[in-house]
Amino acid sequence: MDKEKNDQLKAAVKKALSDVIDPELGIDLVNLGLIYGLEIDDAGCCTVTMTLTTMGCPIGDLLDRAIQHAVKSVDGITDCKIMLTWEPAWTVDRMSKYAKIALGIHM
Amino acid sequence: MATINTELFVNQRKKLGMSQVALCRGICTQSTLSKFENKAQVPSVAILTQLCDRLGLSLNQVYPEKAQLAQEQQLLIQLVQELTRDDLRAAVSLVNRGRTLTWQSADHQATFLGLEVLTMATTNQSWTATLTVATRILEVVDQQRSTIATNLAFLALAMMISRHHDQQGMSLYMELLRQRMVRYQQPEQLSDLSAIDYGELLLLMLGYAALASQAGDYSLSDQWLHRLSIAANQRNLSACLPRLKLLAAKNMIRQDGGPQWQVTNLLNDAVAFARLHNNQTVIVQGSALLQQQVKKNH
Repeated sequence: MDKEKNDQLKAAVKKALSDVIDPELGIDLVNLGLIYGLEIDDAGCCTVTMTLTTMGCPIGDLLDRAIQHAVKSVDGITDCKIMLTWEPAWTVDRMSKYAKIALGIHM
Repeated sequence: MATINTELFVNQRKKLGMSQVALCRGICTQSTLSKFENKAQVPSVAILTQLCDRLGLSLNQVYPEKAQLAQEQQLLIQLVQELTRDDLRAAVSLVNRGRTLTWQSADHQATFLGLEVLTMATTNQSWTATLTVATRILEVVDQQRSTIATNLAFLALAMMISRHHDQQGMSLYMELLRQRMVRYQQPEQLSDLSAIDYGELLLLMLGYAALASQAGDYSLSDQWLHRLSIAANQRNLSACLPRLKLLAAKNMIRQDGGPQWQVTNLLNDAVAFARLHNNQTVIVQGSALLQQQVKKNH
């Protein structure tokens, strides 16, 4: 897969992920700054490296399925792996401006 | 006093050409220093640390045992702080460090295991690993089943059960915990606790209140939040207030009780205290709930 195609796919996956909403906060994962990285291999398998707002909540079944569904809905993606990481630590600063305004957080 | 390296201490002082008078000035009396150098009496850790500092020695070189105990205490204090602040990453990192220590003080180790099991349950670590630590506390460390660590072990087990939505299991644990928590109901009974134990107890109360709320027993949860608030006030400890206020607000929302302004006040308090203590989790969750409240009103 050439770089251009790969970048196109990544952009499409990112767009799809922005439809996945964190149920507790009501904001999507991308705006929350939870998506750290996307890797797509030649076979079309996408690895999503992400974190959560706190180590205290498990990546529940619902959210797991929603992410899988969103990523696999992209044309050209054959599989999805979720890599949960805690480094670097997520902080409120990683939220987009839109997210901060939506949550009324002015920092 | 075989474990204290007074020879190193005295040699260093002489090497630096320092008299006893010069070394002890502003720190302690010459008599205290002399008694120490003659292996007659050990001064306090605070004094000894200052004397070592002046000689360019570390406490660890002169009195390794005391240095280790001070280290253990430091770790426990930090761990209590991070758990109270919801910085679970930092807590996990401290727990990993604690696991590598050969604990000198049995009390310190018991406290550590209690905090370890709480951290594991809070961060959803494997139930087998968590169960193992809980069992260690119950069987090996605290056979009298009377310390705060034991109650944290039961709390941790209850937290894991609650995730599996096992009604029967939850009833058993809630009853067990209810009986065990009775002893912490009177503030007077808590006055003898050390700073670390007190911090650990506040975590236990908070965890129990959260569990009760999850189990749908909101009045029990509120009762314990009230007791927690009094206990925290007793020693001017405000670090648990963000979580306390947030949970109180959630209880009110879930019960659909209390006027809107009360819920909003609690949430505003929660976020304000969270900013003060840099509790990112409560800042985010509190703000999100505030927005939802605002939307409800329009």
